Amino acid sequence: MSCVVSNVAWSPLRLHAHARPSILRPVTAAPTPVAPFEQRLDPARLAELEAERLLAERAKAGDRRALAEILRKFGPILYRSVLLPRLGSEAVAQDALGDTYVRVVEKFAQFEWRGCGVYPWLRVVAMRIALDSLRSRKRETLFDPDDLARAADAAERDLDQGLDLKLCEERDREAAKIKLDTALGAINSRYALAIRLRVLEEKSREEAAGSLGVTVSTLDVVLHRALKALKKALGGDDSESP
Amino acid sequence: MKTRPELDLVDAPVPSKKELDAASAAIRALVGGSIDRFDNEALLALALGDDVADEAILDEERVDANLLRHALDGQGEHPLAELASALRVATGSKEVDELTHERLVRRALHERENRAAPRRYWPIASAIVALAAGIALLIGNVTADRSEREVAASLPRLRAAAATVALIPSRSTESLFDASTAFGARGGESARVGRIVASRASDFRANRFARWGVR
Amino acid sequence: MRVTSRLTLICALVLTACKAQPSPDPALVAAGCHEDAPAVDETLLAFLSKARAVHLQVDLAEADAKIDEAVRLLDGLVRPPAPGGENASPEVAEVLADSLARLAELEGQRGNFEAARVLVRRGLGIAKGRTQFRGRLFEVLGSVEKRSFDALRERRDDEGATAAKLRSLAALKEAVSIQEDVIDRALGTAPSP
Repeated sequence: MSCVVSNVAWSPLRLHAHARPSILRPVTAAPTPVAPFEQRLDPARLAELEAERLLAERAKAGDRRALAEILRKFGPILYRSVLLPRLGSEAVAQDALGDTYVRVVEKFAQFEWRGCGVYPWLRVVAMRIALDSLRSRKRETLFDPDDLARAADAAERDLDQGLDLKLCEERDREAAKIKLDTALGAINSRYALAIRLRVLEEKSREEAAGSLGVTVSTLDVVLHRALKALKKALGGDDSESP
Repeated sequence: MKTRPELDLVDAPVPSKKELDAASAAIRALVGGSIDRFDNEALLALALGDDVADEAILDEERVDANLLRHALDGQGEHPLAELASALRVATGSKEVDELTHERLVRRALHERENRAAPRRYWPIASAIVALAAGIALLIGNVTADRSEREVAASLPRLRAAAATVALIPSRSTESLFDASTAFGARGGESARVGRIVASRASDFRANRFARWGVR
Repeated sequence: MRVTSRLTLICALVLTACKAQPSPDPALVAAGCHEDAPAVDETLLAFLSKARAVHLQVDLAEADAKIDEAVRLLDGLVRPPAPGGENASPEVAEVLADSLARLAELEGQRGNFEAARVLVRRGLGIAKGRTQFRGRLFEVLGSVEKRSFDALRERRDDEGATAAKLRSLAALKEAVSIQEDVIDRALGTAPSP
């Protein structure tokens, strides 16, 4: 198992004995030559990880303050990168964050340090909670339950591969961007522009209408059609719209 | 952009009703007659290859677009407004409100505590508290007048104390460490200072919430 | 009958507690907290976070046997002014004392025994109570004097070596004594430091 940190990788095997033989590669395979690990990891990040490992150990041993510190440190990132983009609503994402915390508190004793910090593990928990939330109530979001099921599986693979926090965060942000760009690319460019101006850039009706060369009331109709088209492109059923 | 149907007249099939309507609207515009916004929209829709340029649908659509507009402004609900909001938060970087977050953390931690509490002691504990309260009330009535006078006299002091007592003070960190294990002449400093930071960071947050008046 | 008497006893305790005069939180008093102590604030937390970062950096430097680098880092941490100056909070004082002990140990490793003694003396001036932090300073002093003893003996300075050995034994004895006090306090058989 190696820890992927930004564009470098390091093996935590020398430090921690949590290695599992890869099922994809025979164990007899020659090990990839690696540079001394201090050359492969930013010392500041290494120091941070060591502090995190100590914190996680205390949390595992039942220290509530340590667990609270972990939640306070990583919770806002889970909310911003995992839950809010996938659930599409602040209220729903906050509920999911609360459920994630309850699950983390219940299961933290099972957490195993894998060299890359606590975040990738928390991310998998949050992803599963988000999936449950999305399945329990149909919502208009960028992601559908199938997307989320795939993302949860991918998060588990990321955990297995030891993806660093920053890469996890980048990957989640990128996923939302790709999904949106793909959907906007599938609809008429004028509709896509209306959505970008009015929804994503939050321009005023007057500004957006000016950019599109229509009156504000026409803009309302164009935006209405644009969102309907986008919903269709995202795979949603537009019959719900009154 | 897709070509307008009127540019393909040679090979075009017989125009449909909506195409004719759109064409009429265009003619009105060309001859100087006024073109209202729905006619304009019909032309736009046709140009964009939409199939909803019919006048009857446009009326309905106008109403719905208006509902959407209000919903986007936070007045009322609309499924497409929900989608718009989802797009906005998916690509933005909105943070969870700090107080809300703190509430979620505490709720999760306390939930476990409550679950772990052995329920069989509750009846006994309740009985003790009830009995104590009864006796306290009995004695309290006798001494109430005196107590009230004492409280009134010490009110300014109590108020001053309340302003400071709520904050967790700085203090020795010795209680964070196991007394039975000596620090030793070498090593362990990082773990020790890490432990101190974790403890005081929590106190600091509690003080901040106390200052904000939420505790 | 036994239950009734226990309940009566508990009620009496509850009432006594209710009636008691307001007094400082015993938990805080036991924790070395004074009534006029400042609240835990941003400045304290900033210093503590900085100290944590420096110690982690020192860990890395030591792992690479870069002792000079470790000394340089710690020197930057313990160099005045510390938050609160003369009236530093207990946390600042204790972290400083612990850092000075570490720095003294490193100076001892480098053979700078006098510099190490100066650092320990400074730490003892900060960690005045009989706490683990003070105990550790004495342990480090004992270790430094032991190294000094080895160095002097190698140079065949018997008189100096004997003096260093006595200083080492005295320091280690004091460290043990402080540790015993700490344990007694934890068991509730000794007063607060």
